[in-house]
Amino acid sequence: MPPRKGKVANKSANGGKGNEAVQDERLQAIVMTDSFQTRFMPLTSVMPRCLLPLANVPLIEYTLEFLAKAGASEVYLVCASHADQVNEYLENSKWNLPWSPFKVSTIMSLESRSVGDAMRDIDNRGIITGDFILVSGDLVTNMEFDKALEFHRKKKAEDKDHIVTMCLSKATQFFRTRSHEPAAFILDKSNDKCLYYQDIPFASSKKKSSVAIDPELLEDVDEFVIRNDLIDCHVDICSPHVPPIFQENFDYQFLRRDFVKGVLSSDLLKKSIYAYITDDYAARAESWQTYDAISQDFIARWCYPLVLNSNLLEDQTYSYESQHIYKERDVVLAQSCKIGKHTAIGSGSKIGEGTFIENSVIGKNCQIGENIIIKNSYIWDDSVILDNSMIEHSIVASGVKIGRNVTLEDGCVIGFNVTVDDGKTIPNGTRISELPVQKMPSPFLDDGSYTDEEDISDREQKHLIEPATDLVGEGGTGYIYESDYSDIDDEDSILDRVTNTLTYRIENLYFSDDSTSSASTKHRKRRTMSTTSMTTDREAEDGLEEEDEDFEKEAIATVERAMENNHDLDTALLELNTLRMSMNVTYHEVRSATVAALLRRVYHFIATQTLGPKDAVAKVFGQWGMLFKRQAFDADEFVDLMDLILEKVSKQNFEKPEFILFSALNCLYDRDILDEDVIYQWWDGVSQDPELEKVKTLTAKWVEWLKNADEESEEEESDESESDEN
Amino acid sequence: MDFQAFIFCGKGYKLSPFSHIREESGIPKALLPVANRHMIEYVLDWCDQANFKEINIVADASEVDVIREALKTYLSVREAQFELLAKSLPSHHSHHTRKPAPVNFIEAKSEFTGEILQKVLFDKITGDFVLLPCDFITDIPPQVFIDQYRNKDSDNLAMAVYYKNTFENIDKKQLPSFYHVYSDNEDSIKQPVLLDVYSNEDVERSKDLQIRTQMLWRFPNAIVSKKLLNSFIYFCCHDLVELLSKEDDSKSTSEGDSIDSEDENAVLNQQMETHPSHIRRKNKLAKDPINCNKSIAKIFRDLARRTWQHTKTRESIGIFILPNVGAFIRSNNLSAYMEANRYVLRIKSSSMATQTAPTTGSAIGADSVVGVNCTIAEKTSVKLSVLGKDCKIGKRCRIIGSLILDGAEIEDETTLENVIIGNFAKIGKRSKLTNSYVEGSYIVNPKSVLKNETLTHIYLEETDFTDDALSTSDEGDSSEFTDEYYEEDEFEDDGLFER
Repeated sequence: MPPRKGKVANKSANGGKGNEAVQDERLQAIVMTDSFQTRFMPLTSVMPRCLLPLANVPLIEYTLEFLAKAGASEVYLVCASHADQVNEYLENSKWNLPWSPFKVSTIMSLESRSVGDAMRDIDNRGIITGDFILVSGDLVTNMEFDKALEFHRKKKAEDKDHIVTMCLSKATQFFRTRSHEPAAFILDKSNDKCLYYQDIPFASSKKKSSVAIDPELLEDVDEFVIRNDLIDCHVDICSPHVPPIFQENFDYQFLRRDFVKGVLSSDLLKKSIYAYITDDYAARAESWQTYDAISQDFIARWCYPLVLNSNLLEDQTYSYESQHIYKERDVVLAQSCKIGKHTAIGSGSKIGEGTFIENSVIGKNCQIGENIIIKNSYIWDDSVILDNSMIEHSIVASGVKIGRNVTLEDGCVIGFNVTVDDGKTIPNGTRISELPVQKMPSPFLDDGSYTDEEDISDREQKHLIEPATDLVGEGGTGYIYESDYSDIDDEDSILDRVTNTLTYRIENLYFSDDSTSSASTKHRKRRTMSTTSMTTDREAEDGLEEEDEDFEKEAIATVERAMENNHDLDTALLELNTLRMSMNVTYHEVRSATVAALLRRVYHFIATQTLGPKDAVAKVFGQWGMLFKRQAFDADEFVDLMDLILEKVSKQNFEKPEFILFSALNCLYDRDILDEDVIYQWWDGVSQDPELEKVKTLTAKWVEWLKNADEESEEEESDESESDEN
Repeated sequence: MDFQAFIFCGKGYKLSPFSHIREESGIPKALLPVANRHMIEYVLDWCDQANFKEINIVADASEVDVIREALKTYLSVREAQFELLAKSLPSHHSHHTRKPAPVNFIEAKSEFTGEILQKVLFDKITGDFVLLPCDFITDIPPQVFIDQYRNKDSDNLAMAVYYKNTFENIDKKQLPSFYHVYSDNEDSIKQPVLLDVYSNEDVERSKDLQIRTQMLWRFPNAIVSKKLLNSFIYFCCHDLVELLSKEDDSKSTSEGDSIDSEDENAVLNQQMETHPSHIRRKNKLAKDPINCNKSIAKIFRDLARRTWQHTKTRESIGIFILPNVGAFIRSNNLSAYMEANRYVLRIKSSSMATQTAPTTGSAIGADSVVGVNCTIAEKTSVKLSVLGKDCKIGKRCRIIGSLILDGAEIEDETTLENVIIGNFAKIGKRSKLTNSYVEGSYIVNPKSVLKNETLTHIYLEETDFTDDALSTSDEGDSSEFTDEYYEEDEFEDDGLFER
């Protein structure tokens, strides 16, 4: 039968198209350009982390390159600190050209202090339309993203609750680019579903600790693996459900520690997270140590095809020579200088006679003098190093001038535009910046997890720091940067730091960074979002009245959000209850806020002429009236509730308040939330305020009617029973 | 590499009311019949395939004589078979035959298998040895195990054998449930190693499964399985003797009344405090004190934990998970015991096409075994069941998937389905029993209808059994002799961390 055949063919064609349409879905990408950490201080006080050059290419380029290869069509960069610089950089980059593979735009989320804040901001902006990639702006990877995406889609088809696929890279437990916050992933052996996540202390930690897994999470699982050998470079494929989860859980700050763990151990949410494990290279430059490691790996072509001579930037002209030496055009090498293995030199740089360079990266337009030794170091653009200096395993930022006979010992970081005078020796692990970098004043620190890349020069005046003339000499400029945690570091984290670096490379001993998990896990008071936040302690002290008011505001917002986003009742109740307990208010306040919120909603419907008064009340109170069931528990409380409704109705400036009141009460009555006795009780004691008379007119009739109906039905019942007896 | 084999005859706590736990009516676990042969004979057969140097049967003093007596026939037949074979073979082939390994009986009197191992057996051990349970049946030849053991890494002290249950009919509730932590060593050339074991009860009590992070740093890719079952088969290196045997000088004082385990613990702890391990180290083995007053399974767990608890690496315990292609079953609970019987029956029925029926008019399936001197009246059908010797079965009975031990009497028109009937028990007329267990010598009244019940005698001294016929069988006895990990709270302060 030809027609049928045609149909079938048609159908399959349609089906195929349908599938394709799903496959061709736009892939959005969110890039967190801010790390919300202070690990790259003092350099990040001047420039955001994502623009720091790694092997002479700004870090963000690696991420964008990865996204281009991954097939992203829209890329949003979430900027918090130094947002202007990021913005400017992007505008002038090739990604902004008409033939860029994706549309790139920045999101100014200046208020954000953590990944959680940024996610909430994204949710508020409502830019997410489908599955998206969430990465940080310091990622270096050659991961084949197609496979990860395929894995994600496959799992999504199998498990409708699947919301996040974490792309993890396989390594060993002590791998040098492994995160500074080691963590164990507990995965179902059969399908790589993530069952639990736990960050763990370093191997060198003295503490006895354990990963505690709730057996309930393991109930349906026969075999699972506990993996401590994965590099978590924070490449996640998320479904659109993810930002709202951050919104609902306004205390989530960290992507892994809060979000992943929270989702996995939540009884309510019932969402699942899978892990895609790849053998490809993936790492985040999240500390000096990983910066060092990744630079070396990158120069050594571990990340192929992402290599330096693929010239990621428009104006780059690197060519590759054996022994992993990369040179750009217009490099001037003196005849007797020696360029050792694993070295890259940017264009316009001049290397003087007798200079030896090995395992290092030299930026553009650097002037390297004569008889200098540079080993395992990173010299950024436009630096000047004068004769007979020695630089070992250090970072020299752009615009630095280093005098003659200067020695930089292991692990120094010389900030932008610092000048070091002749003949100085900078000891192990010193960090110098051009301008004094002020630590956050402690109340600020208490207030929230803050960003590293915070511009704080305005506070300069308050705490004057002496220039470090001892170090940089009379003719030099520079201030010592002390790490933030130096004073609060407990013994453990120091040990962590030292031994941890030891395990990677002995020369890294002092090349470490203050960021250890123990320091950042310190419980700081969390900054909260305006709409979802609870009041902080400080506000709570300001007196009861304000507290009540605040509660009301928050509670109304909660209920409104619930109505708007169509949450289920349980969630709304849970939130309200949490709020109630945290602010220590009575149910009366809860009811009051709920009534106010519902009536506002009704008002909104009527005002916008979406619904007529009757329908509006029926819709709102019909759906959300059930909230009262769990907010009032005895007759008195219900009476109180009705008083509240009366009061709020009269205050809300309805056109026909009497009608609204009557409909609302009737609606609650119909849903068995109010019963007759309560209504009579209320009516008998109802306020006789003349202003309310008008509002009560219809209700009076209604109560009358109820009473009659009641009597009738009682009569009927008694009739029936009588007849039964007969 | 000749192994000494030690077969541990457990008491069969979970096979009550048929095992010797019930002193009046029970029989030693090793002698409980599986398809009318003693359970232990299957193990002995398996050992004979392996050509072990010697076979030792370790049993409690109260049982050892009974077992020796009961195995007499088996051993003489074994001897005779060998002679027959040796005679019939041409003389130039005689070197192919080996005399069957001598079977010794060892009497042990102790609460814990670990203590038996340490006190009684270590003197007898001269080389590598194998610990076996008395209750397993498998079609996996011993050579597979031995090859696996020979492939072990040099730092391996022993190989623990685990299996996954492949029998669907075994009641999952009766299987012990543990979290076994092991590492495949996927990324290295090493063989898989056992890392830790937690019992389900412990985990539930502490509300969490606690995995030490130290372990994760040493074994970053650890697997936790809830499905693994301990086979109680351990292939051990001779070094283990050295490691576990007591040091005479330091402990001879406490040796005298060493039954008191707490005392010994104290001594051990004291020793720990005063001497750090590097002083105590003898030869190449780091001698960490391991308390042996517990079951062997727990000793091996402690040995396994030892691999990651110390800064310096220690010898590991290998793990061998039996492949699913082979069948392996341990009759260590009633449900598995029944299944073991059926497993043997199925093999029999597939190898033998027909069987003659003793009495006319009744039907006995080819998948059943009937002992000598049984009387089966007409119109009775027996399917997938085992009848011991001297059983009397009445008319029009239906016996399906059941196990009837010696001398039981089943009266007319009785239906038995999935039932174990003990020795000399009697089932009254027209009874109907499903999924039940009847203790030896118990008399079930006519017309009883029972489902999921265990019928036991009440002894005066046993206060637990207040109700005469009702006591649930599925509550597992936590103190099984052979392979239970005794519950313990050692995790908090095991004192073995030295860093």
